[in-house]
Amino acid sequence: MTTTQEPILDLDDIQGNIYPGFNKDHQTIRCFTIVDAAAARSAIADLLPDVSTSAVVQAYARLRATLKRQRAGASGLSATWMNLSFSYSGLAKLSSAAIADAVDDGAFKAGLPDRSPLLGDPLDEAEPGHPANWLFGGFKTPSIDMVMTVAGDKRADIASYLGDIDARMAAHKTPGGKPALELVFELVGDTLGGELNGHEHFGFRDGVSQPAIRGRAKSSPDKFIVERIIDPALSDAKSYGRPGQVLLWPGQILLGQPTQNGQDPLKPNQPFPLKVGWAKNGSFMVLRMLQQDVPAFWAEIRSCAAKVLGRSDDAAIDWVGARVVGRWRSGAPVTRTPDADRPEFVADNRVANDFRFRLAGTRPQLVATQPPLPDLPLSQADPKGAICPFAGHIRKVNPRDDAVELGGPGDTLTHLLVRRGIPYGPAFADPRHAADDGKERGLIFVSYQASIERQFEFLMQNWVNGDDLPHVGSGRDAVLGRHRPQEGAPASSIEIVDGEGKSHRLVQMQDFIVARGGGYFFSPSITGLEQLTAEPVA
Amino acid sequence: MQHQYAPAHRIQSIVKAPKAKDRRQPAAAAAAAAKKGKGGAGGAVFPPFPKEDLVFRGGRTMPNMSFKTFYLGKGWASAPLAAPRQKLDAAIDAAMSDPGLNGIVAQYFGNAPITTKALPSAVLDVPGEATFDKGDIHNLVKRLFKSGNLAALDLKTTLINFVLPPRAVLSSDGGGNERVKRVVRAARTRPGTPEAEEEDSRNGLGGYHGSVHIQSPTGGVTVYYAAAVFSDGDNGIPISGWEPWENICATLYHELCEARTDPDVEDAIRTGDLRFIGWNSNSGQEIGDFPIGEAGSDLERVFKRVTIAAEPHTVPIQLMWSNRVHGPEAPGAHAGLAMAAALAGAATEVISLGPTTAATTAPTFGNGIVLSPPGNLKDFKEKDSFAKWSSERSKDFDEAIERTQQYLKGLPSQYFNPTRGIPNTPDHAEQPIKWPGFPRKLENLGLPLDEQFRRAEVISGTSLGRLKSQDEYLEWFVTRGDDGRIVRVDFTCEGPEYWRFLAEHEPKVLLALYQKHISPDVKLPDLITGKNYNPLNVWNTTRGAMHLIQPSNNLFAEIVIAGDATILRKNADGSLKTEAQDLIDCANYGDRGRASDPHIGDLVNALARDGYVISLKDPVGLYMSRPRLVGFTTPDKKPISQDWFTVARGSEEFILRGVFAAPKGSKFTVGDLSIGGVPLRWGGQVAKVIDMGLTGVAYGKGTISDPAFDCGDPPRTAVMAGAAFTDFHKPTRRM
Ligand code: HEM
Ligand SMILES: [Zn+2]
Repeated sequence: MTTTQEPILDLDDIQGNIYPGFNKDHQTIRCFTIVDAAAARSAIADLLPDVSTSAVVQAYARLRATLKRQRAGASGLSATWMNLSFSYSGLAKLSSAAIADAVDDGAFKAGLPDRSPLLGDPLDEAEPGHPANWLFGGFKTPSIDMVMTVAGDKRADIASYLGDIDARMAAHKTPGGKPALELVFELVGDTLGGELNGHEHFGFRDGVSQPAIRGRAKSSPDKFIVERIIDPALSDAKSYGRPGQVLLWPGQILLGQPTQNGQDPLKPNQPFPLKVGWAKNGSFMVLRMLQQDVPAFWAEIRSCAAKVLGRSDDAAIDWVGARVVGRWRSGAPVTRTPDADRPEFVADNRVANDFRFRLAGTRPQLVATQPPLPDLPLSQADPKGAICPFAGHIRKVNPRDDAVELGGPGDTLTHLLVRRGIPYGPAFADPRHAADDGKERGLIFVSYQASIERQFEFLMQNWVNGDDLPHVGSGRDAVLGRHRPQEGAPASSIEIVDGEGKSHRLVQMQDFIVARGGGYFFSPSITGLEQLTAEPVA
Repeated sequence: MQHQYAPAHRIQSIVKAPKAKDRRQPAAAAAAAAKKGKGGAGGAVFPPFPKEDLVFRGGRTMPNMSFKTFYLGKGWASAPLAAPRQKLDAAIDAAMSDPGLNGIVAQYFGNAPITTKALPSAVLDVPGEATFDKGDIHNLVKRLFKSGNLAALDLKTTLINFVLPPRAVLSSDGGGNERVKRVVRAARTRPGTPEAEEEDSRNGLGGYHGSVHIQSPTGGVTVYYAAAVFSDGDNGIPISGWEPWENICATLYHELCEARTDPDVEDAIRTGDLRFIGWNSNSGQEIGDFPIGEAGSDLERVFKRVTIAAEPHTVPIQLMWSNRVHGPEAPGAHAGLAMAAALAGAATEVISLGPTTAATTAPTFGNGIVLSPPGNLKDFKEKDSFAKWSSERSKDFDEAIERTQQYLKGLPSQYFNPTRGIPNTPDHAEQPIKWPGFPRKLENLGLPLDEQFRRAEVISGTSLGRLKSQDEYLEWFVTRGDDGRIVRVDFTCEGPEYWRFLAEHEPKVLLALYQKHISPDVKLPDLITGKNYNPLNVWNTTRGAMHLIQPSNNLFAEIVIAGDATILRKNADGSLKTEAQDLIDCANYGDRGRASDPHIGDLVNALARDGYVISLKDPVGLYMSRPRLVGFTTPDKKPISQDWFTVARGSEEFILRGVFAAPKGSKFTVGDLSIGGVPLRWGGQVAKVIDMGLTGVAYGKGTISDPAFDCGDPPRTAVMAGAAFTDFHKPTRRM
């Protein structure tokens, strides 16, 4: 990027979970109802200095990486982070309905429960996934106005920090003596521990692929925020930070910044016009508590394996599982290692995400300061979905270089988002052999994006739950899609090609993922938070 | 990790023999020591020279490979050549499978085991030539491929060897100005010897290896090959005291080891992109090259009969460069392992390749069909209207095919006119193509949603949002009540051609349809001015939408884009273009900013790359899906039923016109609805949940393999050049 200057971002103004992400082993997400606006404003003003910014979280991450390298082990550092986000009703209470409308009067205003049918959730009120039955944020639970995300390295750190916060917030009361903000739900997320750390409950490594943002930090404008390690002589250097780490214009995630242009990924569109200035550097946060049915998932994989391979031993179910997700349990991309899980592919973050679907991968050439890349096979061309099915989760939500209904792959980028999820509930030692234990577990899905409609909802509505999108005949997302028939839509199916090149179309009748709650929120900039805590001007 | 070279140096170093001083100096210094190594049982034969150690550059390698040897000329099938051929087959197989020899090469694969599979060799019945140049070798590769003789092979990991007949000269000239990796007999390379003189086997060339990219029905394939001279006398690299088959064996061993460690070198030379290189040294030498240079005039120092465990126990090979001894390494003592049986005595297959030029042949065609009106409409009252309609569309197809012929110049077109015949092929495929109905270009402007909807729809003065923006073959007209709320949205995807046709042949039907779907007040003179149909009449603009009017939305465009997209396109390096935007930028068959044009082109071109003969499915037209109504609710939060959308023209399978309005008896109107809690205020909100589609048909996978073309403007026929949106006789997609 020498020709088009990338924008300067004020990392002191952006909440740190948006970028670069808290990336901690433990999180507590507290949902509040604002009982009294004035008291809430003063409580939030009190918390404001604690809000972890991008600058701080990034500085910590860099220091941690340096120490880990130097000591060839743990960094010895620890930190506890906090961010705040508000729903439409929260913004309206703190400021006014007009101002909340000005932030977004579309999906954000309508709220997650009303949008739920568009996302593939059950339409039948009797089902647990229907918003009438959600544990929080649904039709029958208290309105959530504010979400506090606290993340730390140890549970105890979070507990003590929350104790401190409780004490501080207790000082802000309604005129009637009640707390200004009432805690209505608390979500507790932890990584799964041991070998499964960094994996989700089905057993697959998560959080491997994340887009990076373009831009330079206000504090060091001569450097890109995200390091570029591809030889600048190659055209890929303009599009990726690390190999496979796609660069997006910051407006894809942050309001008021230059936005991703579907026609030309290298040339941004003008920032989206804002109706309220302080919305700049804010981001919309989607929160979904997604329950995972681990035994059902592997039972279906096992039955698929029997149909496709004629066997259902561990190797066979791993083989099918890798196709259903698009990565092996270790996270190794299936198009790079189609026949066996090879953890070497995730050990190096310059390799883990470097693959394509349609065309064969090319060997990246890195800048001279980079150590050599391990000599591992590149991704194979898979234009027909013979290696990674079109219904495979990661091929659905990020088709990369695939042909898509929107035109070209540049268009795909306008729908990407950043994910900040963490599992909840107890882990199974080996998810593949899990038996139903009646316990709640799943993923606390969190994503940040500049537009809920264009990003999170588009992915869910058009691609995850589209039988023919982005690829005609793909079937719905084999992990995340709604598979069971409803409202005239038949069951979904996935097409898997076996080792001999024979294609098998398998009907999916089971839903593995059920929504249990959530909401649409806005994570304002620090400036925005200051505005919200100030007395509203009528 | 200090391998940053200036590109110019990189390229040259691949093809040049080592510089005399680089080579001579260690060789001379080592002369005495080297003699000691002669005949030794293992280890280094030269003093270490780490400067020439091989470095991995990131390209492909083949830890597990197969090879298949083709002996050129029928002479190899019988005495006196049959016996040496069998010995050579057995020896090279044994050498390539020997754990001791492989142990040396395995160091370039992290010391993981490497495997080699010798596939049965064959004699190729090709005419003997005095000289085989590189062009000849490339042609042989292509002909072998087209003849199907390579079909069963995994070409990604197979090396095709060609062994020349006695006395035939091998040259690295020809086949364009590309140059290939070659074995140069160092003994003949005197300082100052001009490069060109080294490039044939009369001047020290023993063989070379490379790759050929072939466009095939299933996409591009790469075939790896090596060629070896029948080294004898003053031809090739004969070793004194060796029989010719032994010389050839050593050359093949050299090429196989190099192909294993650096298969894509020819791409590196072709493109100048060093990332194709696997292992070579900083002076550009591959695994087998520097040892020859180092041996100087004393070739026996690296050409050796080595003892191996398996039959035939002794194999003539050339020692390869070994980083661990920083020089050529001879195999040490090794445990005898069971080896594959030698191939000697196996039956020999003699293959003949048929005609020299593998031309692409068109399939034969059966009877044509009469093209139906869009959506199989039954509007026509006149008996011959159906035939007339079909023949008009037939002309569109002819024109589209003619456009492909401006490239193909007599080669069979991959686009066919279904009225003139349906291909007689055993296989036949359909390719549904879908895209969103809401204009992608508007979505990509970076505007708030409401503003996108407004722009798509707004009518201000003579400027209709529809005419300007609704360019994905779906147009809609919004009817609002006095309070501004929507009461109905009419969607159409009917091409203007049909309406012009009605005006010309069925004016009564034209009027009746306008009256039925737009307003009983429509009069024929409103539609036809003078003798001409006016598509931009008031009933199809400000007062309704009878059919498509956006200048690019028409059937001719649909037919032509699909036709244009059957032309294969290539990059500067000869590889095929495969990416949607890349293709549309190259062929210019529409607007890259839309969803429809690049996507149609993308999928059609993929069929063309698969060698199909392609057309559009009857009834040719553009069709909308039902809107996905999940999440649409009435004010009492109840989901709405499918009755809100009525198919007004066409059928459920082929929807040409749909009306979104409250069903009879509903107490709500469209403007009362919400979509996922967001009030329905614009027709575009409904367009967002409608998909558009058409279906391609494809016959005979692999039937046609036409050449690919460079980018450039599409041929502009007179008709195309004069197109403007008011001229609906021959409207066109923007070119
Ligand atoms: C419980 C539900 C889910 C599970 C178990 C799950 C699992 C996974 C796994 C294992 C990966 C591969 C790791 C990686 O590439 O980082 C992944 C990637 C991804 N998931 Fe999910 N996921 C879930 C829900 C969602 C949802 C709701 C979305 C939002 C639309 C989503 C979007 C993505 C995206 C965008 C990627 C990265 C794809 C890429 O860039 O290659 N996932 N998910
Ligand atoms: Zn060589």
